[in-house]
Amino acid sequence: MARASSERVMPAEAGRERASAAAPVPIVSRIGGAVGQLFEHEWVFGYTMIAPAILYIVLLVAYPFFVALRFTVTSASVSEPIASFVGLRNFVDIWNDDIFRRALINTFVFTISSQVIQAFLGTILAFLLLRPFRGRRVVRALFIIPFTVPVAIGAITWSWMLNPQYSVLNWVGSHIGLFPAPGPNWLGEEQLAMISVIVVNVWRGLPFTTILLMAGITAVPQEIIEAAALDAAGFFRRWNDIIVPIIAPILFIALLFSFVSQFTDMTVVWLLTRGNPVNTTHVLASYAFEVGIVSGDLGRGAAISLFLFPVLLVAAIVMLRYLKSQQLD
Amino acid sequence: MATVELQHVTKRFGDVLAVNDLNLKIKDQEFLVFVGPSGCGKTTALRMVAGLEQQSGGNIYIGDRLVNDVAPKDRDIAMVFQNYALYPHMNVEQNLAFGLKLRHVGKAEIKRRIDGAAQILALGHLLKRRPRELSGGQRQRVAVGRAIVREPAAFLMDEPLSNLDAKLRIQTRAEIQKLHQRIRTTTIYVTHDQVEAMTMGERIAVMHDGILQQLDTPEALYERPANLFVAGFIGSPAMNFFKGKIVGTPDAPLVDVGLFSVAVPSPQRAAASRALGSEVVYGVRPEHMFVRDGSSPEGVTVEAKVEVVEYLGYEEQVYCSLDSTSFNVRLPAQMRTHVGGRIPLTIPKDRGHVFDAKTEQALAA
Ligand SMILES: Nc1ncnc2c1ncn2[C@@H]1O[C@H](COP(=O)(O)OP(=O)(O)OP(=O)(O)O)[C@@H](O)[C@H]1O
Ligand SMILES: [Mg+2]
Repeated sequence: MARASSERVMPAEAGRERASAAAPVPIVSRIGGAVGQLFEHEWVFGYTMIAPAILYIVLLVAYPFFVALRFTVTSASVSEPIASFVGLRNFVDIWNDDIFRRALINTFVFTISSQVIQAFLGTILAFLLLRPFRGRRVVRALFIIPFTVPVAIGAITWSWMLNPQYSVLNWVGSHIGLFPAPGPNWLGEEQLAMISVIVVNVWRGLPFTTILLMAGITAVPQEIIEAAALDAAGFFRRWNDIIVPIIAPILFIALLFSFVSQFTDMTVVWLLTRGNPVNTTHVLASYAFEVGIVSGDLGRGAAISLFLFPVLLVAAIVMLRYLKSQQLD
Repeated sequence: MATVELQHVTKRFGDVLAVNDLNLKIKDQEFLVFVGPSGCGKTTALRMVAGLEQQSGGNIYIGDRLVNDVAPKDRDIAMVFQNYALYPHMNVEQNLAFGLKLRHVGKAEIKRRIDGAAQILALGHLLKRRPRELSGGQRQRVAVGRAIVREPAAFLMDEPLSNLDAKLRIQTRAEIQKLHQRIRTTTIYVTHDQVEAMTMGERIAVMHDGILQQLDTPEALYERPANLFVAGFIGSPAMNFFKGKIVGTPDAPLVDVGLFSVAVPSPQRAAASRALGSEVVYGVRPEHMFVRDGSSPEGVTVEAKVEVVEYLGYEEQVYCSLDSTSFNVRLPAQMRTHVGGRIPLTIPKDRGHVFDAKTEQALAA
């Protein structure tokens, strides 16, 4: 005790030397102490914390992106890894490719119609599921299923349901007299296949859209909705003039977000049709995969997948700007 | 403008009886306050009048019209919400105009009403601002404005001042009173603050546990509380209570609380004569007791020990004890009461209240 207190009055330097000489501090805690001291500097601590995120972005996002960007102007392919510069040849090629043009149109049709249908059905469902009724919890839980089932399993189930020979839809349909015996070949005809792809995509995305809308609607204070009801606003007016404007920030972000992700998504198409029949249901992402990975033409594949990059970039910038302006408010 | 009447109105939420057989009639042009502790059913009662909540039983009339099955928007009432419930994406002018547009009021008329409300509530310079650009007090005025422009048969206000700071609350309280004197729209005003109720209400409905305790003018509630709950709820600090018994003769009944005996106040004397020997509670307000001096009114005097003194500038609040019973009194500040000392306190003869200990009702006059 006496010794400890006498140490305390000594200059700090001397005290520390004496302490380490007397009883060596374990090396681990000495390192710990040094790191701890380094972390006292805010910038060291800050950069250390953010390092994993930066590393992740550089290695898995930025690097592949620039590689792909370089591929678009080369003749790179799986058989010819040392590629030569070809300028804009790849872009000219794909532009003259009918399947590409079809895929481009399909991408827009697919994205926009999925979004519109999801928004429409999601709104209705959100209101229905927000109402109190018997068994609401069970219905809600069932409703979430498409969202929780892995896409691959969901899509395979669908492809069986839409299969020309085993289709349960056709079996039921023809038995109740909706159409004659074999029934439509859902995935085998151009338009039906496209419709099927969109339907399955909506099936997959609808729960999330609905949950998002439910969250938005619940976020509007009940008092405001009641005030509007007293102000003689009917259901539609309350939705249109009160709820939508109030949750617009959420809606806007959600919409942009899902547009961007739909534009670059190939899962449902690939799992359900692989772009068939005769390459009529490809979207850009699935066609890029087909050309670039399956057929091995890396240059053209990269060109296809980056074709809409400028559009998406603008969308992303708008999105970030908007988020920032909301924060500053 | 109209009367509002509730007949046997009841509201149940599952097992909770939020409002229990409520009967009352609000007169045309009256300013009536619902007051009571938290959870007593004030808001629920108001929301049933608005039609935002469907009653489990009973009838509600606005004017001569039975409105049980009338939608909120068709009841011709306007409501001011506790959190104002302004539309955040609309400016003040649009907030005021929204309900009028939906009711197909003409453009010129809308402008006339908004200008009128803006003038009454001093909103003129704020018309183009959004709610989030307003202070709490300004938002509150916009909320009132939105009710005024509707020119409804009745205003319903649910604790509209509770989000304002103390000073602004008192100021706004006066403004709402002035407003009512000017436009005299029938108003039901909900608050849990008895001071707000006393200062604003022409009549006050005191509620407790979903049951209406007493409906009366502020003076009557203060002077003649109908039961122990009202006696304890109205007045600040609260009335002092002493348990006792009626003794004496039918001509001169006394309340004996053990430590002292005091004459039953004259309005309750007849009832007390019939109840000799029964258990009662004797109540006296802190502001009605005096330190005895030559000019003190007639009454009983006790030697009380001073426990705590709260000096308020214009008066002192003194917590006293008498044996093991504690109570408090309000005394003039110049008394300079000393903690630990003893003071002679007079309980004046006719200022007390006697309640039946079992039923908790005031002995009937
Ligand atoms: N929607 C509801 N569901 C279930 N119980 C409710 C509901 N609304 C109110 N209650 C219950 O009814 C009772 C009365 O509630 P109410 O909101 O009318 O009280 P209040 O007098 O307005 O109280 P406060 O001063 O706290 O606002 C309370 O016990 C409350 O818990
Ligand atoms: Mg309330």
